[in-house]
Amino acid sequence: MQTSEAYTAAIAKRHSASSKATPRPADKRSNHEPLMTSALTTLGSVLGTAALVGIHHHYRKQHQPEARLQDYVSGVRAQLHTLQASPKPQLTRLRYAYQQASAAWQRAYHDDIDDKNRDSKNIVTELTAIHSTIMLARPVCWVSGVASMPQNRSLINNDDSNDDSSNDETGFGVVGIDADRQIVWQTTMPERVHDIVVQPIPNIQNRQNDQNKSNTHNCPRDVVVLGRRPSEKFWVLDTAIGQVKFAITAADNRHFYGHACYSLDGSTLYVTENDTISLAGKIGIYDARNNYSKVAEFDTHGIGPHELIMHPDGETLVIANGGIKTEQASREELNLDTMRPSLAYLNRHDGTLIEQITPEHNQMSVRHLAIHDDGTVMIGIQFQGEKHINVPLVLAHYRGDPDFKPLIMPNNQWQRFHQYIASVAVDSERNLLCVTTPIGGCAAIYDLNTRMLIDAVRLPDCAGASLFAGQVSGQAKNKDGTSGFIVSDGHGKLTRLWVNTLSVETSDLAELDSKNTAAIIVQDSQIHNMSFDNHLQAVLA
Amino acid sequence: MKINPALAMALSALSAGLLISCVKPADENKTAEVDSQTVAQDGAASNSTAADSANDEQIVAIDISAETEKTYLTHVAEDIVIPAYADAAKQSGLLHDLAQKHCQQAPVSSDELQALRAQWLVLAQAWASAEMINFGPATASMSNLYINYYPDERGLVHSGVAELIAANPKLTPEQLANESAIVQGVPGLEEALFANDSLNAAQCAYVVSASAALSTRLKDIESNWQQNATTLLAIDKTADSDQGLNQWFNALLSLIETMKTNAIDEPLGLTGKAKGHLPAATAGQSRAIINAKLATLNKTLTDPVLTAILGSNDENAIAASLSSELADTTTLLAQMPEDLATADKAKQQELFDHFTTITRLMKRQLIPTLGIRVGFNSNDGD
Repeated sequence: MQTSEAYTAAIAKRHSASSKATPRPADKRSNHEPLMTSALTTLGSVLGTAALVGIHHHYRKQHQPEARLQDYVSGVRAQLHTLQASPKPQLTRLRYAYQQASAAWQRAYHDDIDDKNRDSKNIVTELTAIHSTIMLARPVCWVSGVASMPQNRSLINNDDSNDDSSNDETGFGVVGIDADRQIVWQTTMPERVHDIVVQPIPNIQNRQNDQNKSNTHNCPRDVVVLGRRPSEKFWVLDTAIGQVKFAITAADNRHFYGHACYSLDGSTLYVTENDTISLAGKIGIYDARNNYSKVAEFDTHGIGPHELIMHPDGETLVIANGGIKTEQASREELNLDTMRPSLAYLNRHDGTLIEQITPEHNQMSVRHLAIHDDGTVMIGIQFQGEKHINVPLVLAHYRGDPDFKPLIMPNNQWQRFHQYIASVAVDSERNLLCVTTPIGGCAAIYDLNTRMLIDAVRLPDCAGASLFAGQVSGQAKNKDGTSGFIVSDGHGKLTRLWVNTLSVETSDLAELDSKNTAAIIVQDSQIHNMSFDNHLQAVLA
Repeated sequence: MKINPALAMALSALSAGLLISCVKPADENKTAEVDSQTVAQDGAASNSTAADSANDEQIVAIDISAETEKTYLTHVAEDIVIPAYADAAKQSGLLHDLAQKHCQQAPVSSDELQALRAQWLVLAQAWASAEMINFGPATASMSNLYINYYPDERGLVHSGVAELIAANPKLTPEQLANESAIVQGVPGLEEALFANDSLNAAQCAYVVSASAALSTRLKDIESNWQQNATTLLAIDKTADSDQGLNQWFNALLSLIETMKTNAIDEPLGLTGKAKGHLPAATAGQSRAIINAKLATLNKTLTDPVLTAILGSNDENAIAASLSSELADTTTLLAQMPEDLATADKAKQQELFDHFTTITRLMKRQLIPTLGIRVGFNSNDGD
């Protein structure tokens, strides 16, 4: 046995020595052969995988029309994120190492960009160390800011967690919500957030058919999350998976006011800002195609700009100048007696003031906006005057009109809304408007044909309002064929509201009051274990 | 060049299986929903725990059955809410009766005026208790302003009442009902009774009318609650949701926070520039008003039915913490002067801190233990 082994070894040694000395063509072939075999096997594997996944996707598509091939990739990423989020000690070090490497790479990469563009203050911070994302691979229909967000405790990275004043409601974050009103992804945020803005799809208005519409699901889109005023941050997330891509810091002597809007082609982001020296309102212009670097700034022609929206003409910015000077540290309002709110129309390219309207009472702070497809601006007012003064809280304005046109409240009872409208949402197809008032504890729907209140429903702590179906991405018509609005509240409910048209037809709208509320607005709720914050935005298709 | 078919097939199957299994949650909607909610619920406990910096105990939400919730909410309506409004209406009626009696011979001064002032204080305390029920018909359309226009930062009540009396020396309740909120309710009566050393006929007419109008409002609220308690506290929906429980505790929490800011912090200038005024400042009875609110809190948060629910998990720590903190606050308040503005700064700060602790206990322990959520849009919307 030993002799035989020694002989074999000697033969092998000799063969090896001779091979090294002079490679022959036949040997070259034999060297390439395993390589080629491996390549072909890999190619076969890839083709086989593609075929199997293709077959699976084909059958899956029959059950789920909205299913996308991208879901497979998203699913793998989701599993990786779940592993990253795992509190298991053996994975924590791996995750930490990944975060450090990732942050270091991002710093290095963006430092390079900064070198080329020194004016830009946009710094991508250690995002993965600050934010954590948990997700499922499902299409997102809405995004919302939340508090008391359930999260893995090991992921909380908040040095101030013992500071009661700043962290009464912990677990600030953003969530993506699917068509069934279930949470698809949730991403932690280091502070309370306000508006969430979804990047439009380019040429959204030109898309004609369903084929194009379904293709939009595959477009990568950003969602911008604004910190609550007076914040110095906004974040850019991936709409589909909630991953933070950029954290943008306000320029020197600027803070953000909590709202932003995109140009209709999604290439430019406009953000309401405050000049902390002069307290003049500003619009910061950010290039979405260049890592959201700030490229320009306009004057809002007012103080305390809050929400801003893009006019359907694609050329005009509509800005709610709230009129209030706010002290940054304390949020104290400094000029309530002399405030001068306004609605301003600006040319989005050069900031030229096109038109400016002021409300009838100087303490009617113009704050929240929505726009009808026909260009009518819907306005939610926050009244800052004496509590007993009754002023209209929901207004409309059309370009060229000299004044605001208030909507109609039965018996002029605007105090039903407790002087504060948190959000407004327009359904242009049905000519309906939804407004929310958390202090009044109700959501109301108006008929924009008559400007009259259809009805209000009791929804304690409600604030966010958006469209439910129709124009919202990924949503088929509801089982009962209705559409309407979705309203979020601080008690964790996502409530669908729709108008029972039969009830409306048999009612005299002018006679409606709080005693006549026989299910004119129908509602159903999904409850979640978190508190939904001020705004909820639809991912428009 | 050969392909290894067996290996290629195995790798294809493996990678396709991996991709398909990763996308599976999207296909199995129900499963995914359950999974996500499980994640959420598991996380809720740890989140609550993180919120509790004072003690690092795990907060476990109590599983409250629909029947238990229904029983509790019915108890709240019948034994806390309706009696509170009934008492306020009763005290307003008594003030009205007393005013009618003493005002037969104006001017009213000395003992008669003191009797009216004493009854006003009982009424103001009764309303302070009922005011803690910070939702429903009393707050609808801000009608609570007609009962208690507070805070009155510009002194509108003072000038408004004086002007109204001067313009309407024979004011009737019907006339008053059509007037602004600033000349009505508890602060209007306080102004008439405490800003004058004696009441002339016109002032008497105002007190009679204002107490009558207030009685009508308070009786309407009580009657509304009698008829609609089931809807207002969502007692009939306990099988589907915890809306009533959520509404009840969040309304309480919201009012404590508002009171802490408007009635303690701002008027005393504890955390910033002084602003507004103490409750019942003209009468110099701010302690009595805060004390009435505290008594309602005590009654509500140490209520035996609630305590039994909290104890169902063998977790009495929350009830004990709340009870202890409320008792400490009551003791401190009893040691302070009638007019809290005259108390020393340290005591004022201590009182404020006690209320902060109470709100913290509610937010971080009580509400999570009850399995409901702390609302916040109605407190500090933007």
